[in-house]
Amino acid sequence: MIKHLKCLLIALLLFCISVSASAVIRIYGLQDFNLGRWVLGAGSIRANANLCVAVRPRGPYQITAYGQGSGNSFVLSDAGVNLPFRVFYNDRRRPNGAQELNPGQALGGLRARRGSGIRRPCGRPNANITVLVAESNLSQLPAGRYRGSLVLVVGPE
Amino acid sequence: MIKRLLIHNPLIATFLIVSLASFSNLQAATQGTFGPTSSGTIEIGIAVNRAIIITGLRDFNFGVWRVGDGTLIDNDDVCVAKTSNFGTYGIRAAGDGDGFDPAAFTLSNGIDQINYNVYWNDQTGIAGTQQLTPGLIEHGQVETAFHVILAAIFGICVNNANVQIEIPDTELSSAVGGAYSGTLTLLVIPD
Repeated sequence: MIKHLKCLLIALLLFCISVSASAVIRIYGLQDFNLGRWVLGAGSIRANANLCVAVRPRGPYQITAYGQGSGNSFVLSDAGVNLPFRVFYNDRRRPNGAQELNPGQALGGLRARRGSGIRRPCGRPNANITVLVAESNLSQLPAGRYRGSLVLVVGPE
Repeated sequence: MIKRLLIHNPLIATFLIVSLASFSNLQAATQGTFGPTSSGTIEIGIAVNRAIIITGLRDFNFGVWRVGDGTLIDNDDVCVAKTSNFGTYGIRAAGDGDGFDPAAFTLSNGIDQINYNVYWNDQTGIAGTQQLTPGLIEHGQVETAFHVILAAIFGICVNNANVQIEIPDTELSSAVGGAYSGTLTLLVIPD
């Protein structure tokens, strides 16, 4: 009897491992942020865009963002001059209620609400990302064209 | 002879546009694929222009002038703030003009005109101020770095320059009585 129970437990464990390994996730519908032209007095620049995250089977997920600065910090750069920016993420398709992301640190407990199919275009976004470039940083910069990339990595929890 | 004198000194903010087009050549965002994890990339771009602003200006109301009052002089501390790292700036003043110079510093009662003088100082107060020529840019004005930081972080435009108006007694004495007013436009640009 005990032997059978052990086998059952092992079977369940293997099943769980199998289920975990087969979970897939996808982040898509991402768009570039062209923040345009900034002049003194224009204030901080904030932009947001909706995107899609699909998890199969359904479940919570986490997101980690990596910038291209030192320690994965979020910076835009031009000719060696860095312009810091902040990133906010919401697991709903709106910027309100977004949580700030720290470079390289996972933000968990996110929920992929019903959205587009995992293999379909992002027709029904279910998340939102916001970038904020503070005026206090912008106003101390030499003129230039600052650019950078932001890598977003999602994984099921 | 009574003359009411008012010089409108409007806020003239000048933003220098330096041929910096917004980004049209950002690499397209990359989309994540299916997998145990998924990653995508967003490109972000912003063009930052050299910019400068003059603020903290007020009107000059000289009130009533009577014969014997002499030359009228008043000054105002103002603020010039700009994005850092592009050195000095230039100042250009233009009045309402006259028949010879469209930028002449003049006050008018609708018929007659009075000429006045304008002085600019790249620090507060009038010590070291320099007289401006109508329509000409006086380059080499200095703004302190601390001022830039204060303006940027706290939104405080601390005065760091001075504009002075002088209406000579000779102009006033020879003018017909009336209320005279005019507009002085101050333009600041990065050198």
